[in-house]
Amino acid sequence: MALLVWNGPKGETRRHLENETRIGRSPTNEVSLSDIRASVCHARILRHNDRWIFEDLGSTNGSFVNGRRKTRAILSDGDAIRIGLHDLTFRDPAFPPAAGVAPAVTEQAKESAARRSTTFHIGELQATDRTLSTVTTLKSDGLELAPQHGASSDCAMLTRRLNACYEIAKATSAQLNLSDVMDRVLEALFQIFANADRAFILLIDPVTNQVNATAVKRRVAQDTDTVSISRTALEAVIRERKAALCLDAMSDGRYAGAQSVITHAIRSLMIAPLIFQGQVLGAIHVDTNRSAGVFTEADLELLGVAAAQVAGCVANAQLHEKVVAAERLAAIGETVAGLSHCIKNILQGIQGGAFIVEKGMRDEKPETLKMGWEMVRRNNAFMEELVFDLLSFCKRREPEYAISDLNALCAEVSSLAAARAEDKGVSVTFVADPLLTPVEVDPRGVRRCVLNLVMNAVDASAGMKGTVTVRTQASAEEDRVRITVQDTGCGMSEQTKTRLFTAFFSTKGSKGTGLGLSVTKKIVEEHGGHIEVESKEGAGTTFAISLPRTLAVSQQKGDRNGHKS
Amino acid sequence: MATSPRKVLIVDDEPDVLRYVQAVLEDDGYQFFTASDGKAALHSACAQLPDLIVLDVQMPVMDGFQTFYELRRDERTKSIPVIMLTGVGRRTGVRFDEKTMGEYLGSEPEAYIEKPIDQQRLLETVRRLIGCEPKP
Repeated sequence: MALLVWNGPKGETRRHLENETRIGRSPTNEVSLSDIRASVCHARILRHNDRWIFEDLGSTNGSFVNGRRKTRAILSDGDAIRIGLHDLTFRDPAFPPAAGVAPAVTEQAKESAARRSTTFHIGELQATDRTLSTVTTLKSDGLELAPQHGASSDCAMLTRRLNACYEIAKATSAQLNLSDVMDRVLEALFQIFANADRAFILLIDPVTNQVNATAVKRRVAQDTDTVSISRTALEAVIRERKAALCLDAMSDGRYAGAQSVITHAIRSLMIAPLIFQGQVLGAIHVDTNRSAGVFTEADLELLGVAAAQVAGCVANAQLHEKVVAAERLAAIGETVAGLSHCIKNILQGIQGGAFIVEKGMRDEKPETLKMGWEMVRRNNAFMEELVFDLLSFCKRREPEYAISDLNALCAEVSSLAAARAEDKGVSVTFVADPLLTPVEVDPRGVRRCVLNLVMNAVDASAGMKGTVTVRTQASAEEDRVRITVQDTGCGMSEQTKTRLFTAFFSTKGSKGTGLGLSVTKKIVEEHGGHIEVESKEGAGTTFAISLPRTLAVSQQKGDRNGHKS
Repeated sequence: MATSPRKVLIVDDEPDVLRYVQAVLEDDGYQFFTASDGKAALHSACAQLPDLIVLDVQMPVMDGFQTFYELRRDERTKSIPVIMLTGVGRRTGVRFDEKTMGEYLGSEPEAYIEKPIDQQRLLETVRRLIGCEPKP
């Protein structure tokens, strides 16, 4: 009486053999295996002249009898039949094994087989506390996880995998940005899994909870940027916090009808969740459309090792982003506080002006009225200048180039500044170069630059009965013009000089936005020009702007500058 | 008996603020002096011995706090009441602790007024400190 014994979902299962016993994935078989590595009709055992004959029915992954791939074999008591990931034992005391052939099924093998068959679908992710040696044991315990390899190629493959693991460890511990780390990890995964066609690192956005493919690698380059993966599989992995291995996605019930599986003809895939301190941060997904069953459980474990390292790295990067965001917020807070001071000063001027206008009207004093009105107008101009600076600083303002008379422009700015400087006991004079012909610039931008420099010069000379001199110069270089602003004010310390063009740096306390010089520099550079400063503490400062005569020249200069940098 | 008008020294580097404070107070008949930084203010205070000083905090050369400290150290000016004009106030969300400032400076100004200056509050504070002498 012959029996077939194997570990089924309900534990050890026995089946008496009939004249023909079919084995396969289909429930119509007498021995139906829930095994995606088994073909639908995989093999059969026939009774023939009182012996039992095993026949493979042209299965995809083949059948193994006592560790050897067989299409046909005469069975003896204790023979181990391997179909997919199931080990079945043939028992018939009437036909003991031939002398010298050890029973194939040892207690150890039984145990391993049981372990495999219970964990092959979804492996618990315990990669963090499993060591690589566990993986090597699994590889070398004769369980034929990769039966196509001989012992020496196994060893070479192991070495390659270990090296790749080392690469992953190096990549995740290096001080690189996250996207570089991920690219290197995917590169290493391709080395580990020579059959992988695509690999993705997917991260869950902490705010929206959406899963985004953060890093993508394909063996064969594709035109499309879109990443299509099985949502069903991914969601299950994230929900269950377990790594999943699917050996033949096309016929795996779990992924039945999954669009990505069909579209990309995915045969085999592995997904490992990225878990850090109990929180799922995302997943690593590796798949292939080569013949089914290329990934093994050992591969899944390796992917788990990589996932644990990437998870730590992602958690670290997310923490870093949080810190940077907090710092940025603090900087914005400081900036806003500085700006609100500046706006308050302007508000004070407008409010004061309005009060004086009312007073002048009430008292019927035209000179009071005029003084108040001037205050309102002046502070209104300050507000406009502030808005201009902010927009220029944020790159929201497009320069408008036009043929402009710089002498007229500087004369207008000088007279405006002279009026503002009068209160501060500073005189402003303008010296025009009569040889200067019109140039192609953004007149509003240049006006703002000159006004910034002149008002800085006035502030630096306030209370010192200083003088500010504005000059235009048709430069010796034919294609350039110069505007200089010279003062006899307090000058700058070396420290101030180094921070001069830094945004939001100001020596004027709440009265400065710290935007003036950084905006000036930006506008000058937009023109392809440059700005120079000479200053001596206690003796005064000279700023010089050099601008190209035409837009064409400025663009050439801009390009040249661009190449240089 | 006619008394000489009360003298007010206004110190701010923004001419618009000087004009505004004068405009608010001028109907009360004071005599005004102005200075645009702390050092000039100390000079003026010693020379004119005003009845009240309206002092801005943020100024070039010498800021308002240091100016206040110097005023209180000088026998001639130490009893002159001071109103501090400050851009930093509770309204900006930055807490300005007057008591701590007082401890730091060794003595407290008679009043703080936040910018933008509320005219009614300025007028009332000045009247409370030195009384008013409306124009005839």
